[in-house]
Amino acid sequence: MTLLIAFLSVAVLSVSGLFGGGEAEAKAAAGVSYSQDIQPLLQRSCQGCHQPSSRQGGLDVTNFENLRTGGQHGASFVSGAPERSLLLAHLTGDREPRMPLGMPPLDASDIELFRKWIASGARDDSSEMATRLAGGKPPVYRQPPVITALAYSPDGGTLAVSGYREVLLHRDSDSVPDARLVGTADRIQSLGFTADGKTLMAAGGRPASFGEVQFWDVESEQLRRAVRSCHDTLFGASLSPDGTRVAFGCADHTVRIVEVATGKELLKMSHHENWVLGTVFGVDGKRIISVGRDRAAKLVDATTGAFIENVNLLKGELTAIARHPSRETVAIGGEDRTPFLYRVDKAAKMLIADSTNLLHELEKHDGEIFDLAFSPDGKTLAVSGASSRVPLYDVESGAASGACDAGHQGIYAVAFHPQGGRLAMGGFDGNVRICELDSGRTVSEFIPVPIQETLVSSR
Amino acid sequence: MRAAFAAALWTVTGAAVLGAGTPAAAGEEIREIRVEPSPLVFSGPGSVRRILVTGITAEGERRDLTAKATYEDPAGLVEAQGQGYIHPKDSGETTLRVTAGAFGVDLPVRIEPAAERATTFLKDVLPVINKVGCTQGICHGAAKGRNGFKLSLRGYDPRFDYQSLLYDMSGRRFNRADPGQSLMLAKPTQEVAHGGGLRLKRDSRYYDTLLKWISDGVPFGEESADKVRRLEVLPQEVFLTAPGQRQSVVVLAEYEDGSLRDVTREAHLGSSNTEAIAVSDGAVVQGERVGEGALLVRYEGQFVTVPVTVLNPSSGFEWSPLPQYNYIDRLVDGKLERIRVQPSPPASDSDFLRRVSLDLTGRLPSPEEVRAFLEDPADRQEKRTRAIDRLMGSDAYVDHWTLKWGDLLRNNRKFLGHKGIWSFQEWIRQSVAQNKPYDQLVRELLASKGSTGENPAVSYYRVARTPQDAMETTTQLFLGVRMVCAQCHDHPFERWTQDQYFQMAAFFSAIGIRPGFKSGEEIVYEKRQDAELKHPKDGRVVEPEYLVPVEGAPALESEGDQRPALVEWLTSKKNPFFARAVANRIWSYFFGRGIIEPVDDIRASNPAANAPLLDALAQDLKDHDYDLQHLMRTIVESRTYQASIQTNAWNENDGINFSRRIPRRLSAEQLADAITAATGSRVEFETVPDDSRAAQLPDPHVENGEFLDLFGRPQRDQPCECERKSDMSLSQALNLVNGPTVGRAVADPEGRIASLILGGASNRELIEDLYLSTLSRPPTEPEYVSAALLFEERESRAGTAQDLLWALLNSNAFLFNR
Repeated sequence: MTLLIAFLSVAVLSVSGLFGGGEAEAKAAAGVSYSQDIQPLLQRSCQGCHQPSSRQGGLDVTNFENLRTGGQHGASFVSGAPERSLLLAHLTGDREPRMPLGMPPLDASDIELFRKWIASGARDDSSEMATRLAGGKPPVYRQPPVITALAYSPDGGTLAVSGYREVLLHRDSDSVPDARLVGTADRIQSLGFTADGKTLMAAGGRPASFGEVQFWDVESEQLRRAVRSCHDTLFGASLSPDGTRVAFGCADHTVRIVEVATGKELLKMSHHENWVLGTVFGVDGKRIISVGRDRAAKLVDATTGAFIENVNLLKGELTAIARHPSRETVAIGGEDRTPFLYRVDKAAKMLIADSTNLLHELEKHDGEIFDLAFSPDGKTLAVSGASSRVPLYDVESGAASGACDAGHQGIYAVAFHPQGGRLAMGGFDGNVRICELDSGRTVSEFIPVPIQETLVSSR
Repeated sequence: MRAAFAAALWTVTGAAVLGAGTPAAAGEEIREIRVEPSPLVFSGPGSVRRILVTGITAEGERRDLTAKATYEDPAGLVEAQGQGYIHPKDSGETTLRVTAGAFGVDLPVRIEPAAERATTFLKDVLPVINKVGCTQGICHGAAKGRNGFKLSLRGYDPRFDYQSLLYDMSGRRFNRADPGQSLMLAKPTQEVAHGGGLRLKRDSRYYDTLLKWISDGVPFGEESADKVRRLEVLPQEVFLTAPGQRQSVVVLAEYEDGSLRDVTREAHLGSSNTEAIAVSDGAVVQGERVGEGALLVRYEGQFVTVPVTVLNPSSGFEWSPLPQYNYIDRLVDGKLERIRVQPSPPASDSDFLRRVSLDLTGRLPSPEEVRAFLEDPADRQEKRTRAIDRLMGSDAYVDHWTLKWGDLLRNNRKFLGHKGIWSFQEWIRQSVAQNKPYDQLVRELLASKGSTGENPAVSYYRVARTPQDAMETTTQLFLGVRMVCAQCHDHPFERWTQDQYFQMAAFFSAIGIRPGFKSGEEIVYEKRQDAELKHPKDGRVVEPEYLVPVEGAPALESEGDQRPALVEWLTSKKNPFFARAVANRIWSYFFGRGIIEPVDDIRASNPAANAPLLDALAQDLKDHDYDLQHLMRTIVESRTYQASIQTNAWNENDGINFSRRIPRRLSAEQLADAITAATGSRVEFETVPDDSRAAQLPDPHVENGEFLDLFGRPQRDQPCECERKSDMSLSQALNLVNGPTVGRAVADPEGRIASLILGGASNRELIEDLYLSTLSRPPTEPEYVSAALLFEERESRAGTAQDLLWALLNSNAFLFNR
């Protein structure tokens, strides 16, 4: 679908390029899309050298913001004025050196696309296009996709499971999804329902390409809005308790907060020094705690974006964070395999990044930690990671209180049933397993997508 | 005429018809061609194999024709893709016609039916990610990875890499639902931004391998089947008769399940000596310059080295045999003749005496000793043997080797305190003086316990205080094996693994050190608690395990100090490293270079210059129950040791085969003592007995040692031969020319010149004595005449004598052991 549109618009443009002027051109010019036409060209011909890890000329073209900012010679384009835009001058060779450097110049029709896109205002239409393109044909699976996110609806009646380019809604435990919410993000990293159960938030994207957060109307199964952000998948997205905002981490070291109702970016915070992989709002929604590869759990004012303090003593890289349902207590975990329970607010005057707030250091997990979850009553913490065993801990004492067997190594997502008693688990092998907490028994197990047997898979 | 024309054409195009058996002046005559491997068997239509085509010349020399030959299969079952690579298209049997010049060979080919097997990480994928460079030290193989993605260095830890690729970041790097969209494919093909650039093309075999693996469900594979057991390289030795010649190679991997795969294109090929040997991308070895080295082949944790020789192409080499005094000469000559190097004849008597005195005792012979030796009318070898006996029995011999062992065992007050260095030095001295068998010496050190006062051998553990340090020291000193790389990751150029590092260290985990009853004393004891070593990766207790199995070594127990077992294993005559390592080390003290160099870095990728020689020395040492004096005597009695520094046209470029004497600068202590002896002066080192020579100092922290430090005295911080520096620098030269050491010694009012003049020596006697005391030989007649002229022209005899002595001390003939 995506390809088809891109192809069509190119075809239309090259025709208009030949004949020049007229109605066709005007129509085509209006139709040049950043996400469908410009971004693929940048990706193919420019970003080898103009990317975060090698910003030649100070320029990074991997995301719209940085493209607009430009490099050491200034902004890449002047909206509405292609003749004054550096980007175009370098592509045509009007300005030395001609780009792409050391390669044949772009086709005239491709350069024309850039010209028209800038002339028509150089808009970033990624979010719009992502919204418009949703609801396409569901993918066909020959092997189960890795499960990266799970969420129960507040009434417990629906389990949302991440698929490939889609979210699957299951009301029964079987391989026939009750709804398939197809979008444009290859990977869904996080899922969450608003408290009223009406909206489903799904965040993810395509690795090393774009991030996207989607808001689905649960009842109509329609996408209300998709918002594109960052140049890689979005990580550790979380909804504010009142369901009005969503926060997520980015590979560009930022934490961003987006308004659910409008898709507007409310805040962009740069307190971390590496990828941000997890976020969670405080009980009252006024603060936010984020974790990432820089090993820090940072407490930040969610209204102003002001940094308050580090919650933890820095150890290994952090992947996961979860908050107690009613208390300002968080569980964090990651590379160093130890789950920690921290109080968010300091009990005493603390030094920078010390362990004053530490409540419990739990048993070392058998492998890296990928996800953490508190039970709805706040009494139990589930820890999932590289191991196939998902241990449970008593939050009050920090003592082990049981375990679920997830059947396979690599458990990326766990979710407690809102009525308690059950834990859904999913990960590497693509199976969803539901564990009964009291017995630790797997009560149901299913592949959440229909698998099509073909000759190809036996190759 | 026609033949000559054809021969010329042959060399240019390699395709002309050659008149058989016709001598050729311009080109070379090929008598036959050989194709290997034969028959050629493919494990399935998907596999590729390389064949080697070799022409044999009239002289019996090999010429690589792989690239020039043409390959044709009339049945069309296989297809040649250049450089000898053959691609099968289907299963079946056929005959491949290989044609080179006038010769053709029919190679039987069989292609087995396609085997039903999934692409696995171990066998198929890891070699690709190693080959395209993902696991390089500057990329994701770096200790901290790169951009959040970490792989093990050169893929030494397949489990880790598998986890990293698949499990990290909730499986973001692969896409089972849509394999072609996997990040691990998009990154190296640069479809998305990749800091490492383009590593893989969409339409490549490697890309297909990765894609198929993901489509197959990313299986890891079975270690019992998919791990490489052994590598084989064809040819097993490369002999190039001139620089510029090339040789294609084939690398075959044999897997644990017995299957075989041609991995020529995936294996890592390198050269141990890039000046002489180049290795190009197409798995071709090319001679750059006359010399030797090895082709180093590495693939999935296995290593093979292939010796490569580039011969001197000049015509007219004729081996002229020299006398062979013992087996050393036979083995050295054996190699030299083969590689067309003519050794130098024995050195003169005076050169020999100076050399052997320095090498055995660290001292110059006195003028009296030189005179007596030169005047001795006995047969050359007889009197040389007598001189060797005398030197080996001297006190200076004991001083010299005590110093050497003091260096290696790090006798240093930093570790042992003021008292400790003296008692340890005395222990070493006694061991040298009684020529303690080497295995016994090592046993006493390694099995030592008790207090410093009772048993100075415990100093070994007071210096190497942790299990890791004790293990690294022990393996480097006594086995010539450097384990230090394996502390953090499997050794990149050896088979040693990180597990082995800790298993060996575990032998030393029960050693405890506590303060003794007297001040400055420490007691080495066996710990009963906390005596276990834990693996840093997962904290599990590591049980000791021998580095390599040795027949007859004691079985290890999990309780108690296992050092006695380690000592048995280490010093066993069946231990493949122990005798070789010390033989190589001792050899290097007499030649300035080991047969394996560096001497304490013995590994598969660092081959011996003459393996039979090293084996023979090691065997000789074992046959004589580790009698080091016997080994030294055998070495210095050889013609190889006694060779002159004069070169000839055939050996002037040889620096590694002991075909001539290579001069080397006197060591720091030798130089200081030689200056003192030559000038008859005295040096006062503080806090040591009066008139101590530099060679007798207990450790490097004696005051007044700046001169010694300048000339590269080791600081005894590491158990490495590399600590001693033998380089030459401008500051050294300036110090000799202008510095106080030589200046004061020359002008010493109680020195040699003063006593000669006061003793009424004539000018001739004076000049002769100064030459003898510095260069260990009388002056030649022209030297005498020019020196005598100086004395006639100038007023002050003492001043003139001092100038002459100063000039002699600054001459290379003095500064070098030659």
